[in-house]
Amino acid sequence: MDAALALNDVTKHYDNRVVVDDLSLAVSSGSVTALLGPNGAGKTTTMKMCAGLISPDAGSISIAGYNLVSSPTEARQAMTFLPENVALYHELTGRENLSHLLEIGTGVKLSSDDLDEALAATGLPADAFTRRASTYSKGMRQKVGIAIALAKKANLLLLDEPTSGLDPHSAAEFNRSLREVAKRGVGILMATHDIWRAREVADQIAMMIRGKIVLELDPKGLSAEEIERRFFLQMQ
Amino acid sequence: MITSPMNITILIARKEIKVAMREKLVVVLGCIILLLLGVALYAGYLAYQQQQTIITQIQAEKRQEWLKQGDKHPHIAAHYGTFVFKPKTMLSLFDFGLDAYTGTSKYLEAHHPHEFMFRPAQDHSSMIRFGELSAALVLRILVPLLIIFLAFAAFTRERESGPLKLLVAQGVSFATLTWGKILAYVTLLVTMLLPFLLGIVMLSLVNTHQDTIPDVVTRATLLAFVYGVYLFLFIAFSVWVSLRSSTGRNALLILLSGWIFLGVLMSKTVANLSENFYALPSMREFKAAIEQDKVSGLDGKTPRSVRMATLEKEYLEKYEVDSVQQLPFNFEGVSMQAGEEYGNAIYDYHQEKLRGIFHQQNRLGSLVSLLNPIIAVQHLSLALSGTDMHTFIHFEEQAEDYRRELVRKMNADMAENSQYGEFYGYKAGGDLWQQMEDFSYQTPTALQLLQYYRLEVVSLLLWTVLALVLIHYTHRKAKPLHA
Repeated sequence: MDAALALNDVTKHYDNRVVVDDLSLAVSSGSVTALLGPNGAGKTTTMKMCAGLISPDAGSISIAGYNLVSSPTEARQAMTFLPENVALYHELTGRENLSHLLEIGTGVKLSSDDLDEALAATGLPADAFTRRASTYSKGMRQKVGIAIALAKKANLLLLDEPTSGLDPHSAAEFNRSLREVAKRGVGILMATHDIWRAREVADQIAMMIRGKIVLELDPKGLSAEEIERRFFLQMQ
Repeated sequence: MITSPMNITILIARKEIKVAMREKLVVVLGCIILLLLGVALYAGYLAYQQQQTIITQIQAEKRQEWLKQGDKHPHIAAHYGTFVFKPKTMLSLFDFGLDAYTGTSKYLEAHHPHEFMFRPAQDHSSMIRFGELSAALVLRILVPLLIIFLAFAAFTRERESGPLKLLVAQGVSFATLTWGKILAYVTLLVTMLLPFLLGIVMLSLVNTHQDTIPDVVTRATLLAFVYGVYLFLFIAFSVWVSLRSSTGRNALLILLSGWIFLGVLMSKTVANLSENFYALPSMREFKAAIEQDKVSGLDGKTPRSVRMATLEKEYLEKYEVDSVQQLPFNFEGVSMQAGEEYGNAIYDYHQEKLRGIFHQQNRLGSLVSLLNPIIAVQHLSLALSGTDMHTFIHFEEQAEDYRRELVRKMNADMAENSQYGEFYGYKAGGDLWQQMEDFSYQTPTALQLLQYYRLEVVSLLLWTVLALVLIHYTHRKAKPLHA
């Protein structure tokens, strides 16, 4: 079975500076991988390349077996990308936003019941489905974004700093939603600074420094302090 | 299932329409513009009906006065004269044009080509120079304002708070997004304006003589096309500015500045500059120059007495007689017609000079229209509504031809039927008055008029190409984020 995401020897330069350096990483279906790293490590650039917003200078990226360069349409169909601040159309309701973004991405038009089911699966309160997105909190907007992945049956969900700016309760709830999504077979790659939240939700943690993966570990059985210690050791 | 770019374009358009309909500012502005458009059309229709009724009625009265003026000397009848009226074109209800400035009726009599009368602009303050509220003005100036408010945030909103990155990550191209948005605004405007367009066409057809229906249909179709292209240009440029701008505030500022510059400042400045570059003589100077030439001759050294003596000598030699009394016709009729024709030549000379200045002024406007599509549309709109300067000149020429024919007929009858020196002895009657057919005027066709407006047509084409090129070029460079 193809990995939800496979990066092979991916390199990206900005001017003459190497931002992502010969990076290889795989995210399997139904698992959550957290990409940890300090500011400037190249996490966001990596996420943007995986989302197809920018192109790598070298290497290849495949999503559910589809190469992002040679089969961009199929690759994008198999993926949902949620930027740090998930922005929705303020004038449309949550349900209308989901319907519109889903139809644009996949051509699939779901019934109201199916849309509501996808929204409910993310934990979005039912009374918010028909409210305008201008009244939504960041967490609620992210849930609509996750609903896109669920409704389109995406193989991969890319999240850039998903819990930044969320209060602890909302962040914990968001992580629960992610686990639910992963249980449905979706591979998840999230870029984050938050070791505590990453440990809570991830099956695999990849530590990135100066454009390279310097450490990959399974956080189960490790305390946050231990992960943090290993992380700093790598930084030195 | 993979969505085709066309389907995505339609989806984006549907979403944009939904969003626009939920924006209070756009809805309120749209309602105000619809109201103004309705009021302008209604006012235009009332003015058309009122003026056309008056013109028809007075024209019939003046015809009866001419026919029933009783027995009198033909030259006195030529001075008694008559009136001609420029019929209102049906589409003048859409664009009032120059009628308020040029006048709609003219008194015709021997020797004197009078100026036009009933010019409503004379009775208005200088505010009329900013334009009467016509449907054309609403379409030309106010609808673009609505377009600006609709489209300035087309992309900046997506960047600032909209899911542009989500869309681009899903494979939606900037080209598809742009055309989706353009399609949405075009659909909104067509939905909004179509009832008015159909209303104008229906009113025009109901009130138009059957013979001229094809021309009215051509004019209405071309008007719809010209305004369609014009409003598309505003949509395309507004979306382009939004695509290029980092914030909605910047986009709005640029678009409003452009609107004020092109729609208000440039149009008025060009009008003032053309008046300064190509100054028109005052009416007093114009008339004085004609009178001067009548006195001293066009060459400045052939006064009337010399011209008349030469004419008399010519006729005496030609008919081999010693005095004008021996001629087989009344020489007074011949000399009057000769004087009339000389006066006509003087008038034509000065009128040609005057029109030359008008043409130079218009030429400047046409050249500037290459830089400003609002001016191009304004000129084309006037022409297609039949309220432009060329239509006026066409009418003026026809009216002058009619006057000359009337005077010629009177002088010919006098020469043929009266005796020399018995001016008051001869009287013509109803039969002669009847010989002068009533004045009827046919406006030039739309295609005849458009030959004067080639630069304006070229302007719209060039601006359309420019808009398409800019959008195409910007697509390729656009990024979902302004870093």
